[in-house]
Amino acid sequence: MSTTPQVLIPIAALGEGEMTSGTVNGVDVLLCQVEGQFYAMQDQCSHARQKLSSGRLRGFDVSCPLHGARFDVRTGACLAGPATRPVKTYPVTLEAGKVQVTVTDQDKPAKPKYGPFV
Amino acid sequence: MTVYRKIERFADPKTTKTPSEKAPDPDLGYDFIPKERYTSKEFMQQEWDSMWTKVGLMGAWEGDLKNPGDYVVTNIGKESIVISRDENNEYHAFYNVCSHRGNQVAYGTSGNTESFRCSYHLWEYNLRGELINVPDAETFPQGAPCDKLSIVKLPCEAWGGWVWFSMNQDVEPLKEFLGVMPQHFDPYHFERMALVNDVTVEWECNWKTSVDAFNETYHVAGTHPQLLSWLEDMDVQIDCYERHNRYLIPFGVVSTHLENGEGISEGMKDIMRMYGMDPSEFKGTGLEVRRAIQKHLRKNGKAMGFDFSDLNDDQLTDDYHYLIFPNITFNTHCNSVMIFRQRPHETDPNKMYYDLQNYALIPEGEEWPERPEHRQFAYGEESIGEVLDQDASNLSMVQQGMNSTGFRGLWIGDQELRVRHFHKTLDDYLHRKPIRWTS
Repeated sequence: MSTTPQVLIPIAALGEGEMTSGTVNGVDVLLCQVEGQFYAMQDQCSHARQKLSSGRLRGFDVSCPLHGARFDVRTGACLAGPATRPVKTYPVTLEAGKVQVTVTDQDKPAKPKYGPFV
Repeated sequence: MTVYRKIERFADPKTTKTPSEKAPDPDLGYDFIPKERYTSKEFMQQEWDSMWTKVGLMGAWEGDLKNPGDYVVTNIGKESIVISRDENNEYHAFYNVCSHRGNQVAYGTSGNTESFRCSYHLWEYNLRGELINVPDAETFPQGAPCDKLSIVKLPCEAWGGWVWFSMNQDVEPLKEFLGVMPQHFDPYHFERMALVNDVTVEWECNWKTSVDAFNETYHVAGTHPQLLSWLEDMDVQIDCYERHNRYLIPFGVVSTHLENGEGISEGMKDIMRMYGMDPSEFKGTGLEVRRAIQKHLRKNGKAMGFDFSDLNDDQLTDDYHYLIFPNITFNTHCNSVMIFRQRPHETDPNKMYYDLQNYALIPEGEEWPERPEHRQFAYGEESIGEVLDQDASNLSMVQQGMNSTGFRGLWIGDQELRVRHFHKTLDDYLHRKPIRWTS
């Protein structure tokens, strides 16, 4: 199981109210800074798998570019449909001027078990 | 949306057992489909009187009826029906209602019993629904004759691995009702598939709102954009038969709606893995995966424990997606079938029950997995998989729209021909003239 934090970017590279994306342990991660804090979450809408980092960040809300589902970057909670499920959030640590994110193997999305969809 | 290319078909129409040729499209016009049929209690009643109580309906998986005494309880609208297997290994269907005071006689969703004993006053029925014992029978001065008070039986027949029943005593034989369907399905050998998932979800929409949602691929780009990287949504063959219909969705290929077909998405890799291919060893493009899977399964299927000899090449990858009128959808794949069953609510046209069952082909010689327990829950309480969650997320909003004064009715295009065909078949049932027995 991989639990090693991975460096995403230097702290200085991401300004207040900005977001960016990267890959940690094979998972696409959205990283943003809001009110001086860094937050990391799965960079994939829980409704139609669009990249949330291509959407819009307003305060703590990130909205999906396709259907407008909204999520709280602090908790991953779904704030508005059509999504109903939250997205995963990941712990962020700041060290030596770098932003680090940890994604464990358990955090990886499940693969279909029976047939292509379920 | 721009369409960038065509999809190649590899099924040989001369040798395929499941017909692959395109059926001529029926001319069903382009009128609005009226919205009232999704919301009106009168229409719901008309459906019950002229359609639900006239057609053949899927009732039980034969895997749940392996032994004498096994029974399944299936609900449809206001009715509860028992399907049982008797001591002579014959199937029976009868209403789940005691002839005495109307209590139910079979409980839960399935079980095994020697007889059905009513929990109210212990009236007892055999596995055929025939009354065999009335406690204190002498206290019924008018009599309690077993031959007159047996439970009303219903026609039932088995095909494909399921027992079908009808609430129409004069229903046509099942084979006649199913039409060409057995010829299409038998090459898949459903009898080799085990039930691996069995849930019912309570949805806040009319049952037809849900049927419509799965009968066209026009919604893929809007509702399931992630699928465009590994299945085709536009070059989809639609075939309408007498009352049933199908479409054939190529899987393992980048959608012709996407200009760049080179990439291998995670979804595409999942498909390859599911069929025993290692994506890291695949050197082709996203347009070549489908044919590669077909060749791989043709070559290695036997070694994997699967006999695909009755299937054509396209069936090895594609979703042969059928609607058996009125409410059974088969998403048929070479190694799995996903079945939807839409059941109307008891009283409310704005609600329904969505049954989802997944069956998986079990390799020869391998032990079958234990039958999963059936679970029922309301929409949103549990995920039923990403794609179906996406479909479900539209439904209550669509149903609200059906109830809106501002909505004119359904404006249906050619990609949605199956939707129109389904409603035409429904109309045929509703407006069929009753048989005149006397002049």
